Amino acid sequence: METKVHGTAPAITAALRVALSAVLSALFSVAISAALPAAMACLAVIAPARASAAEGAAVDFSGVGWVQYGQMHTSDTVPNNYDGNPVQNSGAQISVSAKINDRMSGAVGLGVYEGHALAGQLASGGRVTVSASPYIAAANFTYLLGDQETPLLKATAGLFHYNYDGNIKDLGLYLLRGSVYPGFLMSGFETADVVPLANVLGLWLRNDAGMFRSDVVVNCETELKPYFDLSVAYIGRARLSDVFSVGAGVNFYRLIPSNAKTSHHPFDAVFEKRNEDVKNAYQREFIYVDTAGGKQDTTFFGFDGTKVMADFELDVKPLFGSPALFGPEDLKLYGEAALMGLSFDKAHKAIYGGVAQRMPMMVGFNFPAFGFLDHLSLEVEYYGAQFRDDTWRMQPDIDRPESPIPYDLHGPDDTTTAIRTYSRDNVKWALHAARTIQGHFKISGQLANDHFRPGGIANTPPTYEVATSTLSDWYWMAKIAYFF
Amino acid sequence: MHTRTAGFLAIVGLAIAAMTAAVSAGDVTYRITGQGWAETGRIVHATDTLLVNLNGNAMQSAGAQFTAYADIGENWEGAFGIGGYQAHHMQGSGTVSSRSMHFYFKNFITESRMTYFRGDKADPYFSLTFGNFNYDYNPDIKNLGLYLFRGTVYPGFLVSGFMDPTVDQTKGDILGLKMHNVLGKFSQDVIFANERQFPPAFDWSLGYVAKYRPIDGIELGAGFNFYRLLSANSDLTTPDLTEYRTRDSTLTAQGDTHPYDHYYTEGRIDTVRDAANLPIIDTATGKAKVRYVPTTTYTHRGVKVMGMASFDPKKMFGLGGNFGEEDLRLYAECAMIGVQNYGSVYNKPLQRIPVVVGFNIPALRFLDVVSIEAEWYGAAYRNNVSKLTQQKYSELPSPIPVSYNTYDPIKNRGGVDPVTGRLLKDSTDAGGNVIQVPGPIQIRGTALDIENLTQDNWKWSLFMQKTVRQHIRFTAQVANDHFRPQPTHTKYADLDGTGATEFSSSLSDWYYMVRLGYFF
Amino acid sequence: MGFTVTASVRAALTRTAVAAMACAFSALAAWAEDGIKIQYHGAGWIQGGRIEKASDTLSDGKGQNFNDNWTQNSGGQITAVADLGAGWEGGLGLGAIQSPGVFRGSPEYDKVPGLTWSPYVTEARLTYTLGDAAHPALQVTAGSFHFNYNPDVKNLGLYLFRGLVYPGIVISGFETKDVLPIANIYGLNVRHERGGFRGDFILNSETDINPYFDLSFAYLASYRFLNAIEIGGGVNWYRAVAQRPSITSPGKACPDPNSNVGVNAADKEICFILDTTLVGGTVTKIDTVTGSLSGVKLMGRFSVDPKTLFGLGGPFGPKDLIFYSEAAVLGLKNYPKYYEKIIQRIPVMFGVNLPAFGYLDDLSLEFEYFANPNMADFEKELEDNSWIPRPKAVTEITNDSGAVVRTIRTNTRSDDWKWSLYLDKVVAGHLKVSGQIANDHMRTGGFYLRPTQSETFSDTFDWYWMMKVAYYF
Repeated sequence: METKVHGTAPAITAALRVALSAVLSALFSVAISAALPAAMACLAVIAPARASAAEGAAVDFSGVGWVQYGQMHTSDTVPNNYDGNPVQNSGAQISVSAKINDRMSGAVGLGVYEGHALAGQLASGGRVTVSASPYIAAANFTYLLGDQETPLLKATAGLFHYNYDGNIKDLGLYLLRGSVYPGFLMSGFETADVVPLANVLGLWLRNDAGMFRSDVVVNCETELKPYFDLSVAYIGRARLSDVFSVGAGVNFYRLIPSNAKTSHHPFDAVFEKRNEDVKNAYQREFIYVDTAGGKQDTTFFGFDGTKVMADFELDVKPLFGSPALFGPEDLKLYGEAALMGLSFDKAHKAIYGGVAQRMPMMVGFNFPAFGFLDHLSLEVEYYGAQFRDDTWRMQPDIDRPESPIPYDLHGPDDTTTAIRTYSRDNVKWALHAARTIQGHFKISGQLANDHFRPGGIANTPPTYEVATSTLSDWYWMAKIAYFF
Repeated sequence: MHTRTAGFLAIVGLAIAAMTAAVSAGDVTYRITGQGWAETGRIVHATDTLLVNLNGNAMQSAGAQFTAYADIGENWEGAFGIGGYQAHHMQGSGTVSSRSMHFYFKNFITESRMTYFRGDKADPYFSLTFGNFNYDYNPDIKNLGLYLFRGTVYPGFLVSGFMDPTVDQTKGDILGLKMHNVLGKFSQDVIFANERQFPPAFDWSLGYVAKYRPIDGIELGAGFNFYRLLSANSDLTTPDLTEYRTRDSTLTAQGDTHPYDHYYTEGRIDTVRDAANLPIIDTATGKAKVRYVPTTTYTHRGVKVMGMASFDPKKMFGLGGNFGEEDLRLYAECAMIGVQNYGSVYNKPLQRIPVVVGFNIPALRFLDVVSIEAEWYGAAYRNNVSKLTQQKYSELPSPIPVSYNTYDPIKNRGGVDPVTGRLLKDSTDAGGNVIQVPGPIQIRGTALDIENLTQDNWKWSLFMQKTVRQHIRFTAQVANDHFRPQPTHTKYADLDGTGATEFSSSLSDWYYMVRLGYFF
Repeated sequence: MGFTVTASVRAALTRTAVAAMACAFSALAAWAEDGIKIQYHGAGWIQGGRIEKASDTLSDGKGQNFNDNWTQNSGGQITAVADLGAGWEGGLGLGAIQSPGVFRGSPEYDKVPGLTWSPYVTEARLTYTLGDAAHPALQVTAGSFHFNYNPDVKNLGLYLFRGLVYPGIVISGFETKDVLPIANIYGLNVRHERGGFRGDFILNSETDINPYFDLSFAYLASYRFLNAIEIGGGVNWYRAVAQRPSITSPGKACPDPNSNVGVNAADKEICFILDTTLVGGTVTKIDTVTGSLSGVKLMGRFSVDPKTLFGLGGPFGPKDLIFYSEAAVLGLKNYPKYYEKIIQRIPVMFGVNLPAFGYLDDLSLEFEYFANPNMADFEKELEDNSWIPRPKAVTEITNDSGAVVRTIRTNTRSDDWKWSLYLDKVVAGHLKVSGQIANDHMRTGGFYLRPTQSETFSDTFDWYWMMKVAYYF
């Protein structure tokens, strides 16, 4: 598989990507080449028995059922008016986990989600179909390498849940969710990234060494098109004391494409706009043309890129002896900052902005709930992206390619050449509360203005914009869940 | 605060109160139940073939479901489950629909609920259930009945069918809340349910059912349902906006229409007058200005009431012998679908009263139950929800039934000749001009007369079931009921994937279904 | 050819079956009731692979270029099998698979509509066994269940039940439901065994390829002797009882004489063959030949394990060295123009398990020869319900000036040979890694603008690979 680095990425990043790509490509080549028996022999090292040791597996069931309800309060009516719309869904899932032996375990889980599109306003007539969709809650196996009590490596493969920061309730976790070019963020009420639902298809390697923890996550892209690209991420965490921990990570997003042309070099002369048809840079499909100084420099964009992240957690309770008055989550302060893309050449800055426009920064605080609630968390985020949070241009159609260039806000008659930036959605916030009762019931709720994308309204083509696009927009959601 | 929001928050509040008032949790014990089935059947006869011909259409499905029940402590039970089954379009009659139909799988949630109860779990004296659950207030009913919580009010569309979720107690049919209470021989239920099947979606309804067993073998019950008491959008529950009156006013001005042609209102055309009561003349046309004055605004909201009774002579007279547990039970249900008269569409109360009588023929343990049910329902309109569900028939969901316009939305009065009552067809006159003449298909007075349909007033159903070894179940039904088949692939592309129209329009229509299943 | 059974006969068959089941259940009613034991089985997997070479990029029009197309899916399923006692057993299960709806096609049409979750029922069946469950004197299974008459087959084969007769379409691929424990029959199976002999009667209601609900009847028999040799044969009266005879066996009154397959707009052979007779280069007569989707398939097979036969010791795995073969006849009746020679309707497959010495559970090499002269595409059957194969695609050969100098039909001769190398290894009893390199009868289904059922590989040296990691219990 070939990897191409485009633009003017920093040399060290490019070198790292190339090296990682080479290693992973080599691994993949081994797997697919005529040396398959050798690969099987490698597996034999992992599981020494030549004959299958079919031991009985202890099987455990778990499951969850829920009903959820909420309502939107939004002001933007383009392309959809969600104001006042109810959001309602219910679901159930059953999972089976089996411990094969002391080193290996696996899990399979199936669920059904019953939900609906939003109703929009009167024109839809309230004709909202409730539909039931299946999903896989889990389909993975885990293997422990080394000592069973303190394994050297824990490897999980398949469809599994991964969350590098358990403090996040809504805003954050952007190292592994969302795109790079453009830097679209994803969040919402109790999404698969924050509840124990599979959100990664790939491989996860974990090493715990005392106060340090390292994770390598290889994710196969199944959320945003183009699909099936492999991203490789590293997340490290250091628990410096009972009070403070820090983490950092890097994600080589779409490092290994399933189709390099589509993911790394999507340029297509058939679809690219002609110079005379372009009034501003966002009207192009794949390129940026710098005509300064009478020259014409063209930069080709792709969907791949690098994200970096840093986060922290500060819990002052241990400084005061962890009074019993407070719940375990009370008074925690946490935060995360990420940088979406490390290419800062003129073209990238023109389209995606500089550091300030590509750095979402979130801080969260757990108000004291004194045990009445598990947590009462307020998260606030600032993200100065200059473009509108709408992934429409990443959705191809018959006459429209996937484009790594953001949504153009110019009207059809607007001939101004400057990019129309959008800043009314720079600040986001979320207030989330939850209470677990008797260990098996959970009631949770959220008021938020986040990156929730409803997907459009009933009986119309899907859309991909964020519902809350100005500071005055918000929604509330409540959920009752029962689990065992 | 929005009334619907209040509704959900009330549920949450009750849930919190119940949970926090409970005793401390013990160990959780859970059990998994499952059910799998394969079924086949056929629509043997369907009179109405104007829009689609379902005669001889085969039906077939296989499905499975799992449900987990967990006991938490002494007073809590949770249940949730998932299922899936094969579904397919109906074949229709033509090759186009037959070749473009395909099989697909559909999922469902069996239940997703929590129940707090006091007393014996099998028969608590109080319980509170919230979530997605099954509610069947009359377990005697196998097919026809249970109309207090299924179907709409205006129009009074009824719902039934083979193993409908309301009858199949392993599947949830209510999203909301239920409070159950038993006081000796008296029991009562309060149901707060969210409408998800028929648009406009998400309205909340409040129902109450009370039952009394004066002596062993007799049970009496009654109930009411304030259907769509809380609106998700009141402009949709009662479409009364001026901007949506155009079609009704035009129809009124035209005259010579049927009440079912209307959409949301009935009214009259008034002359606009000045302070001196003189007509105001439109200078452009020279004619008096007129305006449409609605005299009746129809609504989806309404009140249903229900009465039921069951009589088991075996218990009453101590009959033993070879009778099975279900044998000889006689039961009946009667409901009024909308207590209030409206305009000229809903002005005859007798046409809003379905009456169901059922009897369990003695099967003498050869079968678990053999039930024959008969129903009379005098609604004069066709059980066709197109004006509710499809925008091409009505911009907003209409509380008025379909009219001849369903046959042809373009032609006046659906292309039914007002003199002969036959469907018009294209022809040419002597001058070669295209004209319309009455064709051979008689509409008025037949099972196709959707504006005065009486041939479908009677329904019937024969249901049989046998359980073997406690886990194998054989079920069969032959019926003429309110079954709505899946749409064909080229017509009836309804929004929620189910067909718009009841297959039956006359007494001679019927279908059968046979199911083989196993459960644990 | 089709057995012209009316709908009333089909209904009568159903009624008879219903009555039989009712009698059976009444007989069972008196039995004592035992407790039941339930076993849960589950599986989760991820799978991915790529089409490395697919020569035909023209037959289905622009965009049909699946070279370098990567595809993948993941999924899970849970099945419960309950022992109800006294020989009764029930199985039910659900699964879901996440996969792209279509392949990507050529880069300019690479607009994958999206990944979808598709549910399925793994099985929903009831089984009654008389005698030993492993070798029952009588076993009856009803519902939706899995049936595989030749467990040796990994890819090429099993054509008695998969594929069509007219047109003679065979279907295979990487770990399809025919070789996995997923339901592929809806109907009834009656099995009987005595000694080394096993017989199976199958009643199948068609739910894969329309027209649906046609009933097929099949009988298979096999005999195993010397604990090393197994021979078998079978017959499948495919679509014996049509649900809509006018569709399964259309006559001359063709309801729609035009093809709905986009690339075949001019095709007039929908319900009947137009057989032309030429005299002196001039068409003198056109015969209208009617036919049917219904037909009879025959199958013969054998399997030999030389290790057991010759008492070979050594480090061989239990499946090593087994060689097996299967041949089928897809339709006994000849029709002019497209089904003239029965020899062209006989796919022959042979396979051998190469020695893996326990490092692998299976290392199976399979070859198949099937000299089907027609296009291996059943899109026309789906869209037109036609029993007549799609005409071979025409490619125009132009000169330097762009003028068409001649036309050629897409050469399907080079797809007569198929091959497949399959391997798998079960690790720790519950983890299975499998892979395949093959040129088989895989069908991409087309790209998003144009659905097709053309075989992806039209040249012997076309190939793809697929790998899968599955965990199961």
